[in-house]
Amino acid sequence: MENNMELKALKNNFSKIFNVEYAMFNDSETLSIKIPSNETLNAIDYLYNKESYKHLSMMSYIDKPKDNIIELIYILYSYTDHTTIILIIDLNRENPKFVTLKNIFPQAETFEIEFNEMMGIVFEGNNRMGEEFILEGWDGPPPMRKDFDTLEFVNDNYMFRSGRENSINVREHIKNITGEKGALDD
Amino acid sequence: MIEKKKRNIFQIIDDWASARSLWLLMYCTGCGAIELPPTMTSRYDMERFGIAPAGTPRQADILLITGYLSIKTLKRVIRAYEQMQSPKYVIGLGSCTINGGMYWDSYNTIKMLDLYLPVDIWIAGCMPRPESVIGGLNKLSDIIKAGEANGWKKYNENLKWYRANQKKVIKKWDLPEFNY
Repeated sequence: MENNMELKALKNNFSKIFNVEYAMFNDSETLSIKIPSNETLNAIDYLYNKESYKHLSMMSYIDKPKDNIIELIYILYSYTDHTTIILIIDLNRENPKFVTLKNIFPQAETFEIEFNEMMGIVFEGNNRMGEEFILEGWDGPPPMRKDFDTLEFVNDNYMFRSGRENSINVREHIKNITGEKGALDD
Repeated sequence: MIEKKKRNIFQIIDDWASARSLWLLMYCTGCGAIELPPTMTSRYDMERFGIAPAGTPRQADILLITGYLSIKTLKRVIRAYEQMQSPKYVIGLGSCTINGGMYWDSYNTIKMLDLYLPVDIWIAGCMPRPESVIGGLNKLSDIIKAGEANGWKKYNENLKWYRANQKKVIKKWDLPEFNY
């Protein structure tokens, strides 16, 4: 399928105005753009006011410990063109910080609280930062970070039931007890 | 542990009667919840065994935990359990309540339900089918009739042990110490 014409034009315009690291089509209706974090607010302002991207359908993040970055992702949708733009921003992994978008997209506020809890990203200007979203009384590191070892955490904090002492085949055992064929037996 | 005491005739009648009329409170945050509508409705019809769903914890006899419990939901389950009037029974449904199941290495779900609540009957499986659910409920009914379903007495007597376990995982403890 041909790429969307309006999106192609936008890609060209966008590359002229902003310092775009890369811009590529995911499919004919979706364009991913990576820009430096200091130009992001202007870019979103441009997409919101000059273009028709009025809807923030999703925020997301990708943890990349090898490159020492966290990618923050904004997915914007246009109801007039029916196209999607994915804005990707690199944040420093040690001290991930960005500015809140709650004044443009009110729903971003809730996303930002979740990201703060799960990934430790701080959004300046959001005064509900640090509020509990899903976890209650969590005092460990942000659990969605890739260097958070869940198994180690589980071994430290929970008790496991010890396994069986014998090594009887379960199917055989059931057959001996009930004298009946199991549902999985031939 | 509670010694098996000899019951007098009134307790025997009492146990027999309560085994015939069990009201079920379903805690449906786990995936086991999907097995309960067919158990309740015309296909498997648990009401023919005298078991019916109850609306609130205060009117229920059985607390049915249908799968994994996160720390946050464990807190609500403890609250609901302590609001129930005794005699009360707990059923652990599915392998998640027994040993963590497929969430065995999750940072946010408990692995053994019987550390936090006294479980009378386990129904193993992932997920147990409605037949197994009804089988477990019938088994519970038999145990009640025999006067052996004493989980709630165990809970009252060993409250300190249960509280210590509960507080170990629930870091933000804001439940009342006694609410039954």
